Amino acid sequence: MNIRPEDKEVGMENFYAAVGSEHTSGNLLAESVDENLTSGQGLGAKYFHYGTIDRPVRIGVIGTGDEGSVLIGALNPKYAKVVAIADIRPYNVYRAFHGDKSSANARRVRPGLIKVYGWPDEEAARKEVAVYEDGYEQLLDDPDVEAVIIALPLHLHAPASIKAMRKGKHVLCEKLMAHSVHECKEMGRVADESDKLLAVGHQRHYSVLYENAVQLIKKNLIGPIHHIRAQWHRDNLPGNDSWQKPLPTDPVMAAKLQAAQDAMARAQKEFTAVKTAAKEKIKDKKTLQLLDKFDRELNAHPKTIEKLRKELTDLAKNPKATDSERQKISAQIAKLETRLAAVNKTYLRKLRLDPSVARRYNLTALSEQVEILTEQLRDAEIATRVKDYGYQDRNVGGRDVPALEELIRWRLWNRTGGGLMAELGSHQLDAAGIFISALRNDGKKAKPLSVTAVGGRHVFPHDRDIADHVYCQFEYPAPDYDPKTAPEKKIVVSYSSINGNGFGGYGETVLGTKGSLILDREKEVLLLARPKYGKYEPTAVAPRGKDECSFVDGTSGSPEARLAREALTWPLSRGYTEQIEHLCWAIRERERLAKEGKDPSTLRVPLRCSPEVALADAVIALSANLAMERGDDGENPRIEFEDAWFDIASDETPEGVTPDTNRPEYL
Amino acid sequence: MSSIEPKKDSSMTHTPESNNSSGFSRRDLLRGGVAAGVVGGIGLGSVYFGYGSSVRDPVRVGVIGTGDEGGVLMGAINPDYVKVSAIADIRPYNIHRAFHGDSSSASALIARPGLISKYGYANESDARRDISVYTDGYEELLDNPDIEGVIIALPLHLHAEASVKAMRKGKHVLCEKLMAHSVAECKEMARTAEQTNQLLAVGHQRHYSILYDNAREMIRRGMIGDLHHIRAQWHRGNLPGRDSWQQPLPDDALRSEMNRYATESAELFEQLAAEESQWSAGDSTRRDSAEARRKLAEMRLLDAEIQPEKYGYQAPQLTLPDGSIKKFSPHEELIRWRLWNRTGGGLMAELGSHQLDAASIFISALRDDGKKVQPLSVTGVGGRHLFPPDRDAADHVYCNFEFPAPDYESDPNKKIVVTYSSINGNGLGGYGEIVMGTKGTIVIDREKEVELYRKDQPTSIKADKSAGPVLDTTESGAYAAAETKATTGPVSRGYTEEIEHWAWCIRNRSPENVPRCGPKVALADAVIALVANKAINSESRVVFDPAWFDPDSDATPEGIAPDASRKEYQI
Repeated sequence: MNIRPEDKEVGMENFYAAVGSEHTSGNLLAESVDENLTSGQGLGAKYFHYGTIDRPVRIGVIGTGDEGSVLIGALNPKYAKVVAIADIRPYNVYRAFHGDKSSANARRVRPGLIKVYGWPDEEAARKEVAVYEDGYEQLLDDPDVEAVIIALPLHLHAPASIKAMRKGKHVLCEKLMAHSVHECKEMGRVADESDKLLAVGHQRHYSVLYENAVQLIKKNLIGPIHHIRAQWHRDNLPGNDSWQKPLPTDPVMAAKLQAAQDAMARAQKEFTAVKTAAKEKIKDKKTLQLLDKFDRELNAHPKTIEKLRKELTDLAKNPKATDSERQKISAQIAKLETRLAAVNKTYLRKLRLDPSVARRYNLTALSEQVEILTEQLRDAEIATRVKDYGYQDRNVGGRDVPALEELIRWRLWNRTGGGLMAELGSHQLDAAGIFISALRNDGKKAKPLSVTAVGGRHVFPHDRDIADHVYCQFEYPAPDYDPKTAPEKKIVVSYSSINGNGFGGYGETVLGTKGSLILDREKEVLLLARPKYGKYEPTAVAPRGKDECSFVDGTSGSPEARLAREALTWPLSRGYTEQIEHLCWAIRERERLAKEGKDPSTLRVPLRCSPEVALADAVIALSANLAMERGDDGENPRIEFEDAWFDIASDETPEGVTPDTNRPEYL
Repeated sequence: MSSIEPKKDSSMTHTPESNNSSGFSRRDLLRGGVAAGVVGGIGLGSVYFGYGSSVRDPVRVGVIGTGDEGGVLMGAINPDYVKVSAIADIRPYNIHRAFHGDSSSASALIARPGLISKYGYANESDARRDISVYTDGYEELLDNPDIEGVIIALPLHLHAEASVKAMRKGKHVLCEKLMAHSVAECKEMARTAEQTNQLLAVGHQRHYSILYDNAREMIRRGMIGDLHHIRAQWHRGNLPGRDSWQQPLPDDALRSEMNRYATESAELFEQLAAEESQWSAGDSTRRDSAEARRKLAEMRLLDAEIQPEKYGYQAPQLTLPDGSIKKFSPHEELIRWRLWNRTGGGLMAELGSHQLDAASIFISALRDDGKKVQPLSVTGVGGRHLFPPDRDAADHVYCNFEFPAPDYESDPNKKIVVTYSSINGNGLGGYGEIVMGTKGTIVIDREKEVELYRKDQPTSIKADKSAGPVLDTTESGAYAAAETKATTGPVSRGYTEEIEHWAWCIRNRSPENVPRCGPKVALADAVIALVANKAINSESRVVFDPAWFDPDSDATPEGIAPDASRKEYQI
């Protein structure tokens, strides 16, 4: 049932051997290794055939929460320069600059603008980045902004994207495209009308790993695909749910801050005591004098820094203040901070204390914890104001859910989010569709025929609208399907997303008649030929006929495999960097074409997740939700897809609402 | 029936410090279970499932149907409990296999060794002195007063008729799963068992698997917390031209195959004779292999002699998308009965029923009321996605069963979904069940291995490999399997134990001594599998009616009322 460790190793090696082969990748991998290309350093441009640009596109980021901050972290400054951000949550504005320090992984994926652009501090960053905290309308009026990245809660994707395009901005909108199919079509139509680029952030379209897997399928290596199983299972449980973010109004949060501050004070006191004790053992006069000087500095500099920071804040409010005044103070602060760090380091050495003593008290981590909690609690400032932005007080299961909770936990509510299918499933069904389409001769992306779904709130109490377990089966047409002559040739994609148990994590298993591909957490791919005598063997690939490849016996550690392993080893871009690079390139390319008097809509390399593609992904995710709803209402939880739903020009939608780009929300 | 309590172990506190002991206190029992599988019938099943380690004298049994599954059951018999006194099969090839075993592959010969090897007869005629052979149906076997019980391993559509007739003739019955071809038939069988006071057991062998019982016990003790999802699958690599359910027919193609092997064998023989000095082991093996294949084809061709129509087999036909009709022979229906809806029940009946049975056992383990829980609903899709029009059974099926969680009655949101898939064309992952709880996960792989993953114990326990199977604990969510395998040797899948227990119940008749998979349990398994087929065929969700699970109720999902006095059942 599980992939055995030995099979996993064989599978990984087989994948590397296959994609490293000139017969499948056409030397693309070898060249990228030779040219030392990595994500953000030319790999995407090479793989997806877009080019470099000489002037970064000026970007506004609307929504700098979890996902917006991931996108900021993935930005390649050679393509995109963030000139503005907008978010109504103080915590998100803080995160946009400083990143997410809640864990090592969070720090890596959400490093913050200061780090991405190498600014010394927030002050310096704010000089380059306009900050809008009262909605995003003003950002859209900012003529300096050429394009926006939208990472707002799902129900705002359509209004924000449409308004942005109507204000002349190109748009990269986070997935899911929108909250309903008619909204998606409205977005697609406005992109056309306004002649703006609209891309949607299904990043698997830009994953080098997925691209390589698709190549193998295209070469018919695993034979016709007849089943795909995908899952995204997470450990979330009541009281420990990544979608149930802490609320600043929760007394527990204040208590946590108090506890962190107390711990900090205690650690400082104990550390001081240890240092005092160590100092008492020092007899050498010269050293003692130095230590006394250090003590004075350690006492004085933080106070000075605090004073200077206050001056800076005051200056920010003073319209007459000049840049040079601010710069002077910033420089003073930086100098003192550097001095403090140096003193702290030398101090311990002079005390003959091991550096591990300082680590034991871990004052940096404690002060960061205080910082994070303080910033999170600042969201309480907007507790009433959020209603001005459309968030609502609600009652769920007999409990009052204030508007602020609707905002902070927007993924849990049907009005603001789309549940597991929208947030997680859509990516994977997108990938499944790409895999299934890889063997088609017509180059079209296959659309599913039907979806059957069950699910519900099986583990969590009534603290959310959405299901915490969803299971569905999509019937797709196989390449040889024909409703009249071959109606049975279908491919079923099974999907499940659950909470409460993360066994197996997330990924997609693609089964063909000649072999299997397993894509694990967007990080690793396993390739297995049909087993021989029940055992999976090392394989290589050989050309077969004109355009195909087949498995041949292989050995582990071939040069091709080593090369591919080098090129494709984690940390590997999940595609975020590349999707933004491609959009920026497309913006500049259109300018060039226009200047040369050519048709700007004929891009040499069209965007990979265009409105049409993104609409299909949304139709799939939202129809699965609709099927589940039908089941809840005692009806048959099966929906048969209509072609017209996938057509932006058609008014047909699964929810039965006609698209209308003139709705008041869009004006 | 009493079941032995596992050894109490005070260190089962599941804290990381007690890692060394949380390799599970039943380690020793499990280890013993493997030993029982290896040696066969040295009594572990009896200890574990609480029946006697022997019977006064072995029960005299007739085996009706000695094909693939009948052959496996005969191979699993413990001669201390059961003596095969008669066999019945209309296929000469099956009679041959009953005695000589299945020589189509090395593993087939282990699973189906044949009666000669099982009971130590010198040869077939020696065996035939002891064993009556019926080749013209099974009616005569039922009239044989020497027979106390019958093991029925006929195609699915004959289960009800053969079982009901056997019970009416005073025989106890162990019928292969699925219990019957329809729910009405299952109820007819259950009612007949009641009326005739015969023991009726159905062969869902997981009820007798020590491995499964261990897993159930772990769940019962809360080791994986609240169970909220089970995923089960049985995926096989069968492809057009090489399908284990599409056995060769005794036709011209097989005849020319036989001739080809005969020629090859003869040529190799001549070659070897001419170059005597250069014989190598490989040359002999090639010759032996060609000869074995020739012999196998020859035995299969014996089936050409019989007339399946005489025993009710029909010529299947398929309507193709263009409206034309494709016809098949009655031999096709007999030999490939699993592929046709009239004679078989497809993947859900043959494979899924076992695993859904296991799933409901696991889900029931956390209930206080001790009842076996029934599903609420099923949705499904499937079809003949891969094979050409050479069958009417689906070759891919996928379904989702909603089961009530233990707290379902107070909160109707609390459900447990069991997802099941059975496909052909790719056997990745093989078969098994993954049981997911809020505190951990149990993986049961091919009825042979159990792995336990715990959220609170991120480090893996080094299992004692040399001592054989133990349970392993490692982090939840880990992609790679547990560091060490739960088992290494062959494990009894439960066939031996289910036959032993049935025989022991026959010898020790009392209201308490009843098989673990009796009529009511087997009815539930049949309802689940057959209703899944209904959901798949109708492309709609089916909500289970509790009355379907009650043998006394006339309600059935197919809408046909049970009638035990049907003319097919008259003796």
